[in-house]
Amino acid sequence: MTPTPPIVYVVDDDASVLKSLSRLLRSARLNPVAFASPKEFLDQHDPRQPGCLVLDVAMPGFDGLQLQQALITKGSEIPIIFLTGHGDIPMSVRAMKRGAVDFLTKPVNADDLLAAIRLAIETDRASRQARAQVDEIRRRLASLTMREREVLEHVIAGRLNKQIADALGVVVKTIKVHRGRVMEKMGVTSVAELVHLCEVAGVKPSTP
Amino acid sequence: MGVAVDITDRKLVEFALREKEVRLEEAADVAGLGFYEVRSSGFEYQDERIRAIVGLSEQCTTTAHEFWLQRLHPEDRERILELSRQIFAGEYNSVAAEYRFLHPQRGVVWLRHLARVIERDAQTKSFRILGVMQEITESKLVEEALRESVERFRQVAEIAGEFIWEVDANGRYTYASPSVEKILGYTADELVGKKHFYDLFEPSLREHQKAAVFRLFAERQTFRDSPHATLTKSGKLVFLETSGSPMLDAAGNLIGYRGADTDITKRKQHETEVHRSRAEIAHLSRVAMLGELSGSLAHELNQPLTAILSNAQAAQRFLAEESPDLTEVREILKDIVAEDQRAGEVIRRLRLLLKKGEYQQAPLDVNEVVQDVLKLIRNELLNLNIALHTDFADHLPLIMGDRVQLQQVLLNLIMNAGDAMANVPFAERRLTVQTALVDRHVRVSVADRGMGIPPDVLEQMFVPFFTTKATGLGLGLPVSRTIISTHGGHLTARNNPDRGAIVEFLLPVHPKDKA
Repeated sequence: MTPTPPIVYVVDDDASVLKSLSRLLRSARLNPVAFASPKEFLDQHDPRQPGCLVLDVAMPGFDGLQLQQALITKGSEIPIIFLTGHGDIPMSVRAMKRGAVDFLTKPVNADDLLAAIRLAIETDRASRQARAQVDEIRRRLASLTMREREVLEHVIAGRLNKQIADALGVVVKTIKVHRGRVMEKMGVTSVAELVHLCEVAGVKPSTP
Repeated sequence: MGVAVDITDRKLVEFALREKEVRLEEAADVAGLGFYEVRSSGFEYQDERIRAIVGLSEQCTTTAHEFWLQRLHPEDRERILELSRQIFAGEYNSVAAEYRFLHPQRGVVWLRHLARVIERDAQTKSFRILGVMQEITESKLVEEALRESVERFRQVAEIAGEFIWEVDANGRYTYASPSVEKILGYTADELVGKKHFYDLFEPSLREHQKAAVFRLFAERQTFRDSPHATLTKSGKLVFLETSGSPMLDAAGNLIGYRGADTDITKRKQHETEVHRSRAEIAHLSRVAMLGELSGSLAHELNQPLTAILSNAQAAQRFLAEESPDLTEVREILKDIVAEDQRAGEVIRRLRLLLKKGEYQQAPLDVNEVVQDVLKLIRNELLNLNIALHTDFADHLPLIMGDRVQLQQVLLNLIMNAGDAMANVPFAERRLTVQTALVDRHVRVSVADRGMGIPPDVLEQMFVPFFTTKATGLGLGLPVSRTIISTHGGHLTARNNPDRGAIVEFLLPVHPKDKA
């Protein structure tokens, strides 16, 4: 899987502003893609593409906040930097609560905008990485058999083979085999590593 | 022969004399003249016409003189008796008088009376006096009526702050009524023969006003209520309204003009004040309206400022590179200039609306005026989630009007329409601005999809200070209606049959635009 370079989406209904922002981003060696309306962006947006979104709040028909909501519904977690004409506090609070990265006032200073974009791209990269890791762990977890999954939940609860064998009503030797398969399938060599992976993936230890 | 000739001659003379007498009699009849003679001896003669003039019947035995003495009008009696005494006493050789007389059948009549001493002997004090009498009631009444009407006219003129004048063909005063002094400070004597009407004109306007008047003179035109600025004797500026008509001689040559001037200074000041306070109110309500719009207007300025800043900072970054892309930088600079102009345009429109301007008429394209307003208010509609629909008629003829005031009306109507939809779901908020040509009028209508105007509000919405808004001044619509009326148009409001309200105005097409 070759990592695609992050794209900075810019959405503003004012053609001049859109053009100038795109230019600024290019001057900072970023990779901007411009859209004149939220709808256009939403229609073609691929959530798998890393990057961030620079979004004007006030636009006719379908405004920035509505786009944010639509993206959440679509399952996209792209970080959003909102641009606003006049510092509208209730609006910025709503946007931030829904996970906006930043809320900047027009006219926006290049350093502020670029810093916010870099932070957003970094956030996106980190969260994508985290999501990728979780996906990998889940993929491995999915490869376990029902019995192996049961054994895993006992292991990460810190139980000894004997205790597990008693709980499952089998001999200790069988548990040892399952345990070996679990470690192998999950790609770990220590229980500590296994516990960490399960924590990341949200797998709960079995309760006695 | 000689005798015969003599006789013939005498006959001829007699005949000629009788002829003369007859003619005289006829002439006296026609003129209504009565003769009488009075002598110191007591001899008294009066012809029939005298008896008719004073109304003395044939049966009456009173002498005409006694009868006459009895029936003199009490108010004229003393004067006439004095004259009579004077001529009898030899103080005068002739007297003439007009006086009233109590005619037994016809009441008060006017008589003209001439008396002349024909013979007088200083020693014996004997005399002969011949008198002529004529009734002049009719001409006296005409004269009286004329004098009364002239007097009445003069009084009315003075009360109305007018004076009456006559000028010769060169414009020099040949007459000015006494009331001129109250208006211009000059007495009639100071004007007549000494001043031309244009000498009094306000100096900076003198040549212009003078030329205009002489153009009328040249065409022998009658003019009414033509206004001009004049200085009084003390140098105070007054505004006069002049009406005049030409005086022509029998050959049709212009002798001069005659007319009246009215002092309209007070009226003019009042008009100016009304005009000023109206402009003041229009300005106030415009400022109030722009205050409400300030957020949107800030946005209109913010957009170009944003573009300028981003462009400039991008250019700085490009230039910092080792081999800068100068084509790109050139493009950026071009855009910066364009954006700066865009910001300037917003400010210009704003300043125009905030200006405390006089009403200025110019030929206007209504579509253009509407579009200008929509540019200013676009963001406000956006904030209110209102979808804007426009329907502009092509090739609209021009109208005469004040751009700023019409923009104010439009802003007001559009903002009202926006307010009317505050409780309507976002998806249904629609504002339609339409222009059309109707019967040589340009119609502009603003329609909303709100709740419509309640009947009681519809009645009162044009009353000043009536408002349904918590923060409203209640001046928007009254001021708008006044503005449209000033433009010779009409502003009306009504409910849409299905939903919402329509407020529209009609403006007459510029007469020179034949489109």
